[in-house]
Amino acid sequence: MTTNSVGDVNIVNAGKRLYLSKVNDLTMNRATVEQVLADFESLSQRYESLSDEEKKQVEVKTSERGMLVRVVSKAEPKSSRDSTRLNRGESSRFGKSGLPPDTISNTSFKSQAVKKSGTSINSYKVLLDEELIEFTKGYLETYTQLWWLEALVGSQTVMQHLKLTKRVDDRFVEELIEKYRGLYYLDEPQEFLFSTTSELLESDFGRLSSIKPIEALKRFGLEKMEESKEKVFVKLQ
Amino acid sequence: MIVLSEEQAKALGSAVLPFERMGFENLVLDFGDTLFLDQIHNVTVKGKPVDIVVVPVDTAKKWLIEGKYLWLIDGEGLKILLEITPNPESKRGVVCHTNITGGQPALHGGELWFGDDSRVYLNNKSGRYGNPTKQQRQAVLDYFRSLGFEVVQLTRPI
Repeated sequence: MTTNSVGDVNIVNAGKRLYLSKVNDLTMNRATVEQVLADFESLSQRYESLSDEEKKQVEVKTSERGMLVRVVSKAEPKSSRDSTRLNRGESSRFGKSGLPPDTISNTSFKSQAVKKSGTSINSYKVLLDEELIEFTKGYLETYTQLWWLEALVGSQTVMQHLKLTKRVDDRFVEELIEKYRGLYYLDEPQEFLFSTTSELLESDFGRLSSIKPIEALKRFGLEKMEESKEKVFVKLQ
Repeated sequence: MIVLSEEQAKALGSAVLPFERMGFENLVLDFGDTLFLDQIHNVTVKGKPVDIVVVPVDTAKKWLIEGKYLWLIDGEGLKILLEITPNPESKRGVVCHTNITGGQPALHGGELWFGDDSRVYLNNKSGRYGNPTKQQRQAVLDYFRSLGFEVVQLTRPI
């Protein structure tokens, strides 16, 4: 790391002079990383000593060392931070599937969320498998739940359709569910949703009636459909 | 060591690929077939597990996640794996039956709980290796009994 790389920092007017003189000092004396960071701490403290008028003229943006450099304006939109908590809170039965939309790791799509603006979190753009996709909430709360669909119709089918449509919304989900091979089944009290039927299941649960996957989607949602496929049947109430 | 007698093997039927018995194509997602060798306990080879999660009988009868193990019988015997074992690389977040087989064929699978009454409560709930016939379900129970377990067949949660 060099003194230059510390900066992703833009300081105007009073702040700029302060910063540039500090950089020059550090460069001339071949400062260590620790010194640079320590000086940035003091820079932040010196900022506090500026007058209100001078402070208004200072804008600091940082990407790497936000914890050390005082950020005086343009904080991350509140909606972005709130959505992280919201989506974690709305995670699935194991509490793992509802990763926040701005999570950039742990998905096989090699996905990367694009920073949102404004307060709406119903629709946003996201990078999935190197495609910029418009995601709209509906059957899926977050794009990370797309794996439910993959588990039902296959990853390849989902990704191919994604490349064609460049969107994930309710229509996208329904179009793919139409490709699902097979039927779902309900017991008479409609207490359980089955992904198959057999003599043994009917002896345990009574007569099972078939329903189309699209109907199962509309009535019970993707998570129940996936769980039913994973576990043969799922309790609905 | 013989893990399955000829009679047991015949009663249990043929090994199947994941989802084969359900009539689906194999749709194992990424990391859904990573083997969790350190966490899998082979009961047939190592005997009854010592460090197990024991739950109240009601928990077992309600099929709750607490203390739920995945069980699987393949050519190497009966294997169990606690279902809440994290699989952080997978989108599911926890293990599934193919994390016991590595995606290879197996005879049967399901879920079980060790009840606080010393009995094992089991079902055949596995989309990948479940959905047995009535005879196969009985053969599974017999196999568990042959390993020294007192077993209770669960057919539907209360």
